[in-house]
Amino acid sequence: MQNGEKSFNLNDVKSKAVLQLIKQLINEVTTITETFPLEKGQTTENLVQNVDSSILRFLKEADSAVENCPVARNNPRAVEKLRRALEDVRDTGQIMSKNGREFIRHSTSSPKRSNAVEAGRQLLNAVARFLIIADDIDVDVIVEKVDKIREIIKDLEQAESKTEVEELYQILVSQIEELDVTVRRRAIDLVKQNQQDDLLAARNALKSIAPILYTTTKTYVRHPEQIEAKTNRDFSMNEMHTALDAMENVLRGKLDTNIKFSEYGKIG
Amino acid sequence: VSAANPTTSTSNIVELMQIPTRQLKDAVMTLLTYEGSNDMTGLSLPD
Repeated sequence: MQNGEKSFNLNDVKSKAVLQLIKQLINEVTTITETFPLEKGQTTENLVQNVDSSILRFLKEADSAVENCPVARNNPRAVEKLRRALEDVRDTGQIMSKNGREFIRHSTSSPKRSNAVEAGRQLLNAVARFLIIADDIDVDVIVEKVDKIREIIKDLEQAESKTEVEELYQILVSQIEELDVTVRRRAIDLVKQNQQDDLLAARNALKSIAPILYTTTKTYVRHPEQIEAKTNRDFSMNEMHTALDAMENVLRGKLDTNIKFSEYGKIG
Repeated sequence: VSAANPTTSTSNIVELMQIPTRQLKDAVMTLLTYEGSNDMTGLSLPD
């Protein structure tokens, strides 16, 4: 590894889509075994120009994607991480362009070829790091939805009337539905089967417990003096939080979740 | 899908960057797998 090179562990990549892209980037450039002549009508200058224009296109599209990312509105640190990753792509791209030109001017020189290959490897590594950070941002977007549900549960805990409980429950249901769409899509894309199972288990738990939370909270609001009513409401709230915590842990790639698919009795 | 118009509520950066990433990788690989030649015609002069 060269000085200053930032690395990443492929085992930490959570998304299938990202893993597939990164494997293509890294494998091909590290296993060059064949070389080819120019195609008809192609010039060596074209080869470098194509690299230059592809780098520019990548940076332009990435800038636009970051600019329009919903996280940008309330998570400037995440956006800053993406921008820094793009700076690395820009810098390594410039070195690739320079070394690529030197290589085609001295295309039979092994050192020049070797420099170009190393520059290509650095550039594609920088692209891979950008994609990994972008995937973490996708997770942040989903976790924001999880946080919204936590807030509604907190509001339910403070509710003092049946009407208030009913209104908050309607909001809770719509937020769970919204979360459900992104969680199901994310589950399909997860590399690890156990994480897929745990995420879907947490999702099922959340949907199963929500009506119980509604009933127990309504009962508690009507009979706040009864200790059993409070116990039941607190239990269902705790179960909701457990499901949400499990969901966030799986999304962030952490292993310690309380809800496992194997605990089939828990989700009914 | 244009980068300026993401269609879902997630950031979708990875999805939007799939094509530019492949194009960049292909361009780099095409250059790096060039077999080379002693023929200098057609090359632009160094700056």
